[in-house]
Amino acid sequence: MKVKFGRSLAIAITIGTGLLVLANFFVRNEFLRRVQQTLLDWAMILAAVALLLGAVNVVATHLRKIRGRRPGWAYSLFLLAALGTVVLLGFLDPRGVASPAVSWVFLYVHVPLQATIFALTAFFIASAAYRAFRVRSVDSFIMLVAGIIVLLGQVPLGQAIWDRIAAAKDWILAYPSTGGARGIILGVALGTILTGLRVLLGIDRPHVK
Amino acid sequence: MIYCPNCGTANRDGSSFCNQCGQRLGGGSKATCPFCGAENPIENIFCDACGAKLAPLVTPGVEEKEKPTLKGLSLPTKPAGDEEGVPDSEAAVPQEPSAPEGEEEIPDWLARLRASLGEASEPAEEPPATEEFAAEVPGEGTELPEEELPDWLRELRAQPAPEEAGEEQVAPAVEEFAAAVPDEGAELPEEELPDWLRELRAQPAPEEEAPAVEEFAAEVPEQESPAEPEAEEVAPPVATPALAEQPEAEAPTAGIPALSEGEQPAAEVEPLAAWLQEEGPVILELSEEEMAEGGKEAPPVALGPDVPAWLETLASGAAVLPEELGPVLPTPGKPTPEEVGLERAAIPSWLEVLRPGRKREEGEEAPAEEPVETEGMLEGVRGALRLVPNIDPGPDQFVRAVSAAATVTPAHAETLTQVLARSTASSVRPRTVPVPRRERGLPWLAFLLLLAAVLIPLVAPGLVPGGALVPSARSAGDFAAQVQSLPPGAKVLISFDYDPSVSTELDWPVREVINDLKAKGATLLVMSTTPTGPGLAARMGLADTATLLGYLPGQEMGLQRLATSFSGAFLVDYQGRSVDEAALGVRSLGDMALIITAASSQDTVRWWVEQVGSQLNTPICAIVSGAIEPSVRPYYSSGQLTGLVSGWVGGLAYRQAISPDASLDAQGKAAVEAQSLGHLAIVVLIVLGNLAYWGKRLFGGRS
Repeated sequence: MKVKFGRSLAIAITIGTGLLVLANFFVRNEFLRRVQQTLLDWAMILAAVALLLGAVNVVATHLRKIRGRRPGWAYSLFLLAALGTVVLLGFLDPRGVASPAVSWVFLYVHVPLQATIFALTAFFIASAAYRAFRVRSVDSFIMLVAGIIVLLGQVPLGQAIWDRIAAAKDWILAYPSTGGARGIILGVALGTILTGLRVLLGIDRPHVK
Repeated sequence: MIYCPNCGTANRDGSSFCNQCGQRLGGGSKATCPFCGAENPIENIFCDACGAKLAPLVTPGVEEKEKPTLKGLSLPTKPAGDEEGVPDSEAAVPQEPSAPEGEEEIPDWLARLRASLGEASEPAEEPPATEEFAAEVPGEGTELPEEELPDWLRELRAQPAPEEAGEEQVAPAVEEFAAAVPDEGAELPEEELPDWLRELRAQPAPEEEAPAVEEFAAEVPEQESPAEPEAEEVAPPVATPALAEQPEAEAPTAGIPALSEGEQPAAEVEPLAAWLQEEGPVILELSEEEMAEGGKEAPPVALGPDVPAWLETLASGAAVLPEELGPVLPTPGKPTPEEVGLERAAIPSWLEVLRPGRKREEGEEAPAEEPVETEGMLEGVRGALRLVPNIDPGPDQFVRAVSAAATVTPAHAETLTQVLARSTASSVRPRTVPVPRRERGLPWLAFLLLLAAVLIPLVAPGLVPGGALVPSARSAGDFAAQVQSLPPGAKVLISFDYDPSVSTELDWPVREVINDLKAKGATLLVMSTTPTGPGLAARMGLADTATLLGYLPGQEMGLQRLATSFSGAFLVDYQGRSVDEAALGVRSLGDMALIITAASSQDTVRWWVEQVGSQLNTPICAIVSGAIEPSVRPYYSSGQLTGLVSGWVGGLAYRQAISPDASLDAQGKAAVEAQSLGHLAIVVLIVLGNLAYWGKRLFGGRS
């Protein structure tokens, strides 16, 4: 009985909250505006706490890995050591994340490493371009031609090869590509509306398990 | 259902072997039409050639359909051949033309018995099998047109039937059977008789009838016969009304296949009406004393002229049973087998237990009052064998029984321990798919091309054709126009919404835009919707010229909150100082002259457009990576984004739009040339891949 009541209460809170926030978009009312702002403040706080919970979960997971001496536990040890060091540097300086030490770690360790890993995708793209971008039909041929035009139209080299390639690239991006992307966006929007309505009407209850 | 081509038993769909006779039921089996001889697929119910019904003519009733014969349950199954072979009183006997439709046809002696009982009994319901059969038989008096008749029927009609007068309306199957079974009183030539009938004629009739009677008597439950032990061994033949209905032509036992344990005689199942079940025991009107006497001569019972002679003989007690029935029904004056030195055959104990009507051993407790069947064919019968619990234990009971019976030996335990101790990891190594020889050099080729794209601009700047030739981009021009239109001191919000991974692509155009904004004297507020954004913004040297608000959590919810109130979204800035709206001169995003988002994800751009742009009239421009440009371009095309800069090349176009005479420095030129060569390398690889593909297709392995 308690479980049923609690579940119903959670559903009622969800629907009521959603309707209040939604009503503020259509009705200009000071009370509704304040309610919406309060709820949004709570949501932002919860999002920040969720980030903190994620960090705690990372620590717990790697601690278990180290205790169990599982394969790769040494990497977990380095991860926890780096995390603890950065957190400690942030706490030791009253400027927090703006402290020079934390900024140094971020600028000279985090950013280069992440950019390097992303740059490695160029090799995967090159390999995929050789193996997968094959002309097997008329459709794939059209796609291949469009892809080459956009690739070369993005850079000055393409301009040197054909001076109208940039205009062709703009046309491809402005019409066929935008049409397809807009269809995807409209589909996402319709799905979002439908999902919101189902949650507001209590049909979907992903938050109540 | 799949009907067995051998015995006709209905088997479950998908059965491979017949449940009754073990015949293979495969796709290669053929069902031969009994009328035209054509071979049909085993699944056919009707013949493809002549339309005759291949399945048993008497289909299962409703109850049988609900309880199909299950393979492996050892339940008694009634082959279709039995239904046809055993003369059914309804299906096999030719219908009397004078019988009114819908009225049960009963012999005169039975009608007289009914009248003597004075019971207004209701006519028995016609069994479903008869209904279906009646549906196949043309109605009485109806004459189908000649062209609608199948060939075999026309041929049959063309032949003069022996008793055509009374059997014109009989269905073909009945007609055929009627032709095979001699009518009462009709005398067929000796050579036309089947072998079994000739053998029967050669033997004295009473000896042939007795085994069937004894066999059926064994099926009668104990409660239906008097309780005296001697009388239980053999129920008086006339106590079985179903048998009493048998015409004389059906009496020979050779025509009735032996019934196995638990199997019920076909004639007992359906024609037995409820009123007849109640009247059955009354027909005899034998006292218990008379039953106990057994071998004594029973009083003559007047059963009427319709009762077959063999049945009257049995009823009068004048029948002479065969010798094997002697111990069961001793003949007066004849020595029993024990007396002549013969030993009684031993019945296995398990069969003795199952035998209905057996004598209880001394000391054995009398069974409790056994339940009466309330439904099904055995309705009203007491003490029927409970087949399902005894024979079909169900999977759970079977597993328990097997587990209980299994003896665990040390060898078993050792084997089990070894199996459990084995690693769960697969011992089979995944097979490595060999890379074709011509593709083994591909990684090196890609690596060399990309390395050349990076090194050539650094080693030999200006070598790449095109150089820093800036492609035109209208979206970048709109962005530049938006920046140039800002009044001095205009408040501009810049959101660093990209990751460090694309910082090398976006840092330069963002820096160019910030420099122009500084030149315009704009008041800059810098924030981020990603945790790493404030760190990237701090690299731009904005600490003294801009307000770093820091990270805004909550994604679209945070932007929604920011659209309504600035201080509510940011309590402190990146430096930890409290955000003062009055000092900033900004209360909400509506006070901003321009919003610029530098994003590496299309979702971030969408959040800005949906949560901020839809509520405010503040123009929004975006600086995005080249990878997401096609995804965000619809927002620019619709006017929701007033300007769009995409990557390095977009930054060049923006710079070209701001100051056409401006030139790139050496690092900028090297970056643009490297990007040009990188794109060219990808195009070359695509072309090479297609050449190899089409070479292989056109020239096979020689490519």
